[in-house]
Amino acid sequence: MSQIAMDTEIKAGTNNTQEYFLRFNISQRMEHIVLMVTLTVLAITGLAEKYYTAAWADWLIFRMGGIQNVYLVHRAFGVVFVLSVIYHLGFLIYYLGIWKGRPAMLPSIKDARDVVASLRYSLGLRKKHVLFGRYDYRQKFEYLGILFGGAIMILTGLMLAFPVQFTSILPGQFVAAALEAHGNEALLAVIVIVIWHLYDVIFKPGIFPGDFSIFTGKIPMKRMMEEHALEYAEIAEVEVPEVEKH
Amino acid sequence: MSRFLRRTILPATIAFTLALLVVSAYSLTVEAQSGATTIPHGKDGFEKCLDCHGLQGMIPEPANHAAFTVDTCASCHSYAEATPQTGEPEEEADPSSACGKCHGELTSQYIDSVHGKALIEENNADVPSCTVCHTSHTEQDAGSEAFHTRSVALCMSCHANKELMQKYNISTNVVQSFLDDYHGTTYTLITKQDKNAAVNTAVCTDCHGIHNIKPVDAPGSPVNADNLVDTCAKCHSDASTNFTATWLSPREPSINDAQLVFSVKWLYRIMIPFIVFGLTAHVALDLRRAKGKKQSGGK
Repeated sequence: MSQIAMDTEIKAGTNNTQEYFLRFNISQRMEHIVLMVTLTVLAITGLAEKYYTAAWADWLIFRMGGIQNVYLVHRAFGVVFVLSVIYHLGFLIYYLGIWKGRPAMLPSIKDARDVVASLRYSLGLRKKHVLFGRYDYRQKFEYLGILFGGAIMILTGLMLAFPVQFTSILPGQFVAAALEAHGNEALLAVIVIVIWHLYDVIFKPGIFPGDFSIFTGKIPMKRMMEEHALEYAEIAEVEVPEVEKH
Repeated sequence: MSRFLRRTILPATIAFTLALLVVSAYSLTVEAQSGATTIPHGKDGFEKCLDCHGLQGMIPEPANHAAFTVDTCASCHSYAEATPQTGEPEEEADPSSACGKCHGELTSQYIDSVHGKALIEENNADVPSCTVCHTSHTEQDAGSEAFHTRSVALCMSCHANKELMQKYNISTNVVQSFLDDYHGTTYTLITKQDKNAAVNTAVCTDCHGIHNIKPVDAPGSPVNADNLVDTCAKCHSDASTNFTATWLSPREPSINDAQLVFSVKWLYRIMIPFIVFGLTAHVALDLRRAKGKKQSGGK
């Protein structure tokens, strides 16, 4: 999944050779773009429906030509989201089942330890920064958040779109509960993305103006060694730098 | 994009999305209320009455009133021969004698309804009589879509009035909860752009009835638990009895009622602030560390 590619870049005044890792393949990069666009449209149209009395929502609904159009667009992109999830599940089956890749997104005890260690590092109680593998605990949190959050949104979304069908087998209260869950889970997802994901990939000191590796697929070697030291060590077959216990 | 994707997944996605768009658009349309009829109360012959009466007030009575009466006005307003009429025409208190002369079926429904009973048996002035909703002299097409849409404001004029509703122990929450839920939201958004637009959603009268409104727990009421599924099925054709429970209003979820909704609501009320706090703290600590590094001349 990672390859070292040599890329020669001439910087102003000096000749520099920057090595890159190919961290994300074309399929993953496409998936992320689709996810980005889909979730943005879903969030905007969905929150406009939920908070329809707000001035911004009022403006948007009017610009889109009325609430029925907003409903349609929201449901259409819901379908796109479902398809992207199906695609991802297909990818997982292939990657884990056939290619026998490692499930790098699975949380482990190390992640729990990393949270504590990072906290101590942020507070100045730990000298060296924490060493992470392919995905650190933050990225795992986001990924699993989308996985489970997405599952909730799809299930409750379907219940809201087809209440007659669902209530032929479920009590009606489930639909009312689905409405509550759908709107609130959406709020939660937007909050996590805005506060955390956008900070991590745009505003974080050291990352700003942005981490584009999800679009280009490439991560500079220097960042690879810092941010995913354990993965780097495995691929480059070098010694892992001395690990501070906590 | 690889050839495989271009040839299979992409067209399949497009086809699926288009199909869903078509299905959604169809399912959102609801048959408009049928049965519009024009009012047979033409304006022919009004002129004679209007010569003296107009619609605002009266000028002194002519000596022989009878010679001036016209069928149209006289069918609702009785008159005394050559004597002045004082006060309001008596027909307004009891619609059955005036409106009922032509609209027999609807009037007897009305007399049986909660509004009608209060009007006739108790002489209650708070309830709407025929002319309150239909007005008297204007030509309103009560079967039209525009009237159907505007009827919500009519019902609200009393049912959203706290002082008035307190007298009868009727909660004004019923209006707000309607507006907060699906039907009311759609209604509000469509009418925002055009007050008379046809709405493809249920309004008050679609569920509660029009001339036959009964208390919600009375056996004949369309919103009584036993009858509710048939009322819902007017638009949601395959609705089962479970479907009626999707609509909570005017009830609020609580520990005793709709516990699942209540728990979900509170789960998020706790989880969202907790996560906001946690993530913000994490970002703050991260920034603090970065600032510290910068100050000590680090990375």
